[in-house]
Amino acid sequence: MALQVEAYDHMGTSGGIEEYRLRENGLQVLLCAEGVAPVVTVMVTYRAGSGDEAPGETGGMHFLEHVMFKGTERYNKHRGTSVIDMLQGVGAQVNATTSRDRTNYYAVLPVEHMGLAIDIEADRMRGLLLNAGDVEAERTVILNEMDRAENDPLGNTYRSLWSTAYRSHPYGHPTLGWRDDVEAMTAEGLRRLYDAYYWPDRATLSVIGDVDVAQALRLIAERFGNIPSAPHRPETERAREPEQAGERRFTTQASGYLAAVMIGFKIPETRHPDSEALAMLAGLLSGGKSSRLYRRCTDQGLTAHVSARMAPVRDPGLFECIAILSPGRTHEEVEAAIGEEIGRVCAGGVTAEEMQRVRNQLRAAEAFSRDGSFAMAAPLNEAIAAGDWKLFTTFRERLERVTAQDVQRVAQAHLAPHGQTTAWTIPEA
Amino acid sequence: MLSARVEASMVGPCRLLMLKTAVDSVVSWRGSFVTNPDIGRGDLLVQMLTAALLDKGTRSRDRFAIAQDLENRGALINFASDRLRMAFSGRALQRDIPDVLRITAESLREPLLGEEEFMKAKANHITAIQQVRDNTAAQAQRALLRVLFSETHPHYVEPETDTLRRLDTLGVHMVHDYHAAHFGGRGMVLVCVGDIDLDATRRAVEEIFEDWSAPALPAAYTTEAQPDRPGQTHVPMQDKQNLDVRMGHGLEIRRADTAYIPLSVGMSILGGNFSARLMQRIREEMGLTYGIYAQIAGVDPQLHGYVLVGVTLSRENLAFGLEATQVEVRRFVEEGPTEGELGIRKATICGAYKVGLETTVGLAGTLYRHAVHGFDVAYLDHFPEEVTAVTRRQVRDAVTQYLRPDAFHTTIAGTVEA
Repeated sequence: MALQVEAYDHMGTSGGIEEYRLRENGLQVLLCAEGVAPVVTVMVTYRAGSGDEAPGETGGMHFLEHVMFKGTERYNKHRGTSVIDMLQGVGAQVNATTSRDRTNYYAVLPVEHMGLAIDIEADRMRGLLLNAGDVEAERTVILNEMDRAENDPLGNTYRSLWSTAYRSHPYGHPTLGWRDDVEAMTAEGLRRLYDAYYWPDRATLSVIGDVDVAQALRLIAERFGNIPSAPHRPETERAREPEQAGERRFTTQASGYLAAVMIGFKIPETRHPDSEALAMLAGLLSGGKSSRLYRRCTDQGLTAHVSARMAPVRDPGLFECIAILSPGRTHEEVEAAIGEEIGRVCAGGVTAEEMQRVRNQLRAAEAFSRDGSFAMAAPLNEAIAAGDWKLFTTFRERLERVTAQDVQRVAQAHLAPHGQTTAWTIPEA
Repeated sequence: MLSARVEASMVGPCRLLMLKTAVDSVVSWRGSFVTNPDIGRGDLLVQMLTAALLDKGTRSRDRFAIAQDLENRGALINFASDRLRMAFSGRALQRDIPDVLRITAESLREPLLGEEEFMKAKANHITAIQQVRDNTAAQAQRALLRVLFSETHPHYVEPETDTLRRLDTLGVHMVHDYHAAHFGGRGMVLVCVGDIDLDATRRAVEEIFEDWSAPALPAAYTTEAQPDRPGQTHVPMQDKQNLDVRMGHGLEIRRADTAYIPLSVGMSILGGNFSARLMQRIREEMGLTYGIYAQIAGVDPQLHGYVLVGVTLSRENLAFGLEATQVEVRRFVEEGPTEGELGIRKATICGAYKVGLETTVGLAGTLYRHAVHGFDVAYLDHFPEEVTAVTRRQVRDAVTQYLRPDAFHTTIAGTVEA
């Protein structure tokens, strides 16, 4: 039962998660007191990512994520109280990640230290020092991170798949950013992003684990309650991606040994009603050794790996099919095999047995997602990014309603050549 | 005391550990048995191919029937070659545990090991090798292990070209022979954790493993590391602007040695996480790297392991980064940790240990590791006490004795100018 706490509006309950909103500033708080061990995950998700960057400032949100660990007046290295030292000092698993639609900061730690994690996140939400020296020191670290990413030929093809599929919308630039932009990034530029997006009403605080709900709400209100809400709307509006009017195709030739085929089909945003059927389709195509693509490609020796998935996104995204070729196999035959299997779904539909298998797999996966606080926090984070945290808690229920006809219909509607981008990685050993 | 809730028993050759937790429906398990491969004869490659074939059908059911049986329950099982052991693990819902364990046992005891699947497993292994050849971190690591260990030590990894050549010569009969000679309940451990029905699980394990005996099989491998070979090895790779560097030397201790915990704590202070000296100095202060770490690796009840320092560097920072890392390691050996560092690190290790026990996977993994390393169940609670009791003097002595930067061999993988 939800606690009525004076500082909050109780917004609802779903899947064992209580949603509250801090009246003072609009901070969204998600609480789940389901832990079986004395451990808690504290996570702040800012509902802004690389998709909110303007041309010229690409990589800025990721850069800011790094600089957020440089500290505040209270938590900084010179005082011996850096964010990392304080959290890792009590055994916390600490990290932060940036993606297209969100940036998140989390700590998984012994529950008696929950207050520390909440205090740090509140403090750095508006109290970041963000000085030029810290930005310079971090720039070489990030450039090294970019070098690491560019070492991976398949990773390069994957990033190019998105930049080829998106010509206007910011999903087209990589989360790490373009190198020129990262090299030119300034403290002022990062401050602009920080001041645009790092506010309580643009964030969700999730607390999951073996927690005393009343104590958690009290701590959150004490530490976040005095932060003002955002004074203005962000200036950057995401550009709309024009409808794709035909297949796009490219080839990357790279030093290395691995050959791959990657295909992306334009699909609607994750909140769209077709998403559950597309998730079922992904499971039918590549969820386990009984799946169609596994049996056709990997079991027949065409590929060493094949997968189909839809990345959770706030705006229209991609349904991705990725295959790593087995030795001696050609791109043509692998691409044809994937295309034929998709064509079989479009023309002949799917069986009741396949639908039941995927439902059973997803039911078990949902139970597994309740095994540990971070196991729940990770998919919850992606649902928040896609625009509605209940996408996580209602996922199974929505899947139960999907029919075989729905799966065939979404395959016909969305996995069509006019919205397709195809990439081949050709190794030059 | 968590350990007091662990049900431990011997079921035939299998040491069975079960722990019921409050999680809803989910059960995870980990297990293994001793295979004692003949390392010098190249058994590890045959063992890997055997592992890859275990989920590809049994004498009574084909690979699709097994996959459907598992996937209709949403269950996951995995088999892997783990040097001197064959390991298996899985995850499923409570009601399915006995059946899924039966499938696991059927796959281990009566695999089909068919010719067609064998050829596919070889092809997949070639792709896996190609991935390794494309990866700077793997190349630097493997080059270091070739220096630190002889060809008869389980930590040794042969050059990829040798593996590709040997793959050509292997036939499916070798996998059959290997399975017949090396598989059995020898030194078997099975740990099940979660929302477990203890009686039903025990009955299932009795049914499937109680009679799985195996004759003694002598160890056929070297346990000691090579003598120190300071120097540098380059692994040239095209178009790899980021370089991966590994530094290390053999480590002449085993898991039960009293120096193990103090040295582990010391290496954690040097390079165990973001707060450690190397990350703070080389990344935070100097901005030279995205990541750097130090650890001891590969130490177990039988085998010598190695000291390992790993760092990733852009080409333009290579010389400076190598020098800065060496300086920081030397400074640590000379100074040792401060009392403050040691106190914080002990709290870090104990806190992280507690966090790691939150999930069924984490708990099963910890209980499994302790069992394989020869500890009794009580060690689950005793480990943090052991860490807390470590003194600064013990860490200094262990670091001084066992961490030898002058003996480091350094491997560098990537595009390095001659």
